Amino acid sequence: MFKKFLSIYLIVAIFIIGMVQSVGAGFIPSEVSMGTKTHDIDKIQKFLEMKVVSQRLKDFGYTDKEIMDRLSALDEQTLHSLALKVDEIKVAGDAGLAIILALVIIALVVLIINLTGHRVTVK
Amino acid sequence: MPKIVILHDPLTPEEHLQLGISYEKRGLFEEAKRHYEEASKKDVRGLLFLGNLYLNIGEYNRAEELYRETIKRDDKISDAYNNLAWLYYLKAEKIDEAENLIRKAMEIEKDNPEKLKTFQDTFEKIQKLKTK
Repeated sequence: MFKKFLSIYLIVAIFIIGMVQSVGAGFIPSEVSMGTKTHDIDKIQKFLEMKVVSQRLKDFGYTDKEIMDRLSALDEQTLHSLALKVDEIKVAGDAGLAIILALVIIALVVLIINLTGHRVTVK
Repeated sequence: MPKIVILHDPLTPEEHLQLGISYEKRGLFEEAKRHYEEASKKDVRGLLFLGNLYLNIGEYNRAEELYRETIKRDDKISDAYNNLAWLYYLKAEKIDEAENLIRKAMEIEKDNPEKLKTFQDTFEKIQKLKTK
């Protein structure tokens, strides 16, 4: 009875393994092209997210000690969330810069118009 | 007083690729795409990985464009030839072109037995499809 059960189990297992291999065998996934080991992916992600968040804090003027203090207080999930939001901070920064540039350009245009003897009024 | 902050990219193209792979594995496709795109400015594998991502989510046309762009930028990336051939195999179209692509991949990797084994597998599957 046990032998019969074992034989059926092995036949089914071999069939399933064969199917799984044939579905994806011809495709080379990115991690294979890159040579990344699957069990290293989490560690690499944590390291790189730390790098991203740490650089952004540095950009905003934090000292190395302050960065270390903040990063050591973060758990993995918070670090991950911060790393994903880093680009939103960048967008806000870019928008602020765009407003400043727009104001500078308007001021220059008004100045040039005034210098050429014209007046700018808002009715 | 507004402060202008200059933002630095702390990651190398290789690191963008790694982070892209991690995010793709977790199903964070938009974040993965962003990292692959950033990497692709300096490393052609960014385009290849973007192509792989689109293939995995079933957007075959976009994947095809990206594989072609990869090959255009670097004609020695054998995985791009293989994966494009595989895409045609999945779609069961352009089979002759798929065969040419996989032959090219095999030629590039003729001294790499491990890669050749995978490419041989793709080649055999394409051959089977042709004879059907």
